[in-house]
Amino acid sequence: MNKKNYLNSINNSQKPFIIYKTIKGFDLFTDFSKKIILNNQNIKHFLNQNHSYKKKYKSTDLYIGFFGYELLNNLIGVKVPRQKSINFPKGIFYKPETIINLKEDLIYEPQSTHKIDRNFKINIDQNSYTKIFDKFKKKIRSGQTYQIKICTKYKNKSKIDPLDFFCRLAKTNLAPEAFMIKDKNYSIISCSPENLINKKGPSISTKPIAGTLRKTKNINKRKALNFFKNNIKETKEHNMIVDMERNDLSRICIPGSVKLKKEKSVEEYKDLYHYVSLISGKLKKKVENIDIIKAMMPGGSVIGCPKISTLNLLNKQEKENRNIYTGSFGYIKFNGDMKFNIIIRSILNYKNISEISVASGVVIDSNAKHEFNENFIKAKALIDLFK
Amino acid sequence: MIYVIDHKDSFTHNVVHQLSLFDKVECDDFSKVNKSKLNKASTIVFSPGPGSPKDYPLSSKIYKQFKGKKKIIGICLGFQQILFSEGASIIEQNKIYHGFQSEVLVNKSSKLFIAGNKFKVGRYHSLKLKEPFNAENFDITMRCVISGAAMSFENNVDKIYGFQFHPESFLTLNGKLLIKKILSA
Repeated sequence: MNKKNYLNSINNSQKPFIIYKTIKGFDLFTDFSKKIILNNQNIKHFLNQNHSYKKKYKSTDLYIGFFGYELLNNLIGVKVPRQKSINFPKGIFYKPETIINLKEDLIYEPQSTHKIDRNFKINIDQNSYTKIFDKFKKKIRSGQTYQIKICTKYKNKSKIDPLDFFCRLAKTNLAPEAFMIKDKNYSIISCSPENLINKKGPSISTKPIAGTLRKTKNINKRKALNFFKNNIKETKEHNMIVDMERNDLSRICIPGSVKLKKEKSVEEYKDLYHYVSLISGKLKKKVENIDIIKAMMPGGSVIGCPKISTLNLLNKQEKENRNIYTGSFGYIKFNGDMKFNIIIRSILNYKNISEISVASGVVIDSNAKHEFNENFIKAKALIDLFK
Repeated sequence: MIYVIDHKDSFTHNVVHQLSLFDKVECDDFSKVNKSKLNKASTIVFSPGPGSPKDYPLSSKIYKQFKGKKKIIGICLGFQQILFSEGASIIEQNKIYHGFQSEVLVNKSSKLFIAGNKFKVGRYHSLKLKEPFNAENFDITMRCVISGAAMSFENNVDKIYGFQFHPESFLTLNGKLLIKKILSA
């Protein structure tokens, strides 16, 4: 089949498919022979399946999909109280039979023009946001949390063409962990920048982002680094995340093997600069998939610190289910290698309702108005696709 | 064996990792402490953690039970936990240090470190020791160069040591050395 028209034909075929960013382009996964809807009961079995009987691995010997936020909480023994919910599945994984490599320039011509509503409703207005913010600041003063991320949700009702959204997003914001899922009753479009787990054999690494700077004409990479270095608030937030990720890797890695490979460097993307670190380690011998998932997820950089106490504070506060937000998308190969991101900067479209969740961090010296606006800026890049 | 009592912190396993370079380490949640491990351990370590020492009465109980019988080390919350069990008040600070690198200065009362030495250390604490504080055989041995807040104590009679900062943090430049000294004390 002609790759050029491939996207159009697969989209017309109504077959579910997944696209995931690779270093050079994208991989498209389809022809799913299995679809596993995860819950608290079957997740352990799913993660601990032993595929080692196979002698030779094919590139399609993997499961690809996502873990939602609630499932990941429950997996580490953190309860989420009853919340307003759209009953979206807690996690879904697929077994693909076909993988196609696509080049970076995705060519797709949207066929029907859906009428799209551009109005979004936010679930927490600035007033309520400030109240939550002040409450959490008190919790920081009393030492219950050192950093906590308040989540706000933007929603609207509309039918969308997820492939069109994803292709446009890939043009404006080509994020290293971008992905999309299109299934019969839902779709996800994401420009996640953050890798949480990269595991090959006994080697594992994580690449937390804490600190984002918008690109302008006057800023280059060197200036961006100076900006982050001189910004005490950003530096402290980042330090905290680095120590937390070192901790999470230390749970599953050989003592002495956890290393800070890249400390507070700047990565340049199309529209912004990120302040990132790279931490790696060598896994202990008896570590299983489930141990890795439990140690690393939900990814700390989008939750706050310390993880358990902060998750409990968040869950007590939040009235609406996070669904996919701050969960993880990626794949587990049958040989045990895996790659997972953190699901942020994403649209979940389910039952013709689109939701975009965003969060920004409260530390002792952050400001409510600034963080509320920061949340809006993060959502805007996605909201702008609705036109 | 070193037994680390975890107060559900996101830095505890950095402590475990660091201690593992010197001895076998076991680590359990503070609410699931194992008695036979406690009895077997040569050293008990109270981990960092959220909240304040009054939230962890079980840890204070363990401290009182083993004081003088085993070496005891406290880090951050653990540091406060030990002092709190010795009658100290632990209070909120005006300026809060989370993810902050600062300098601490060793004073003359230290038996393990050289007076006048400075260390660059990582800090993650909302609360601090209220001073003046007095307890038999306890000396404050390091202080923050800028604020003067208590950063380390030594009780060389009962072999009890504590750091308010985090020797296991990547922000602490000589963390391994600091831990080695108190483990071999």
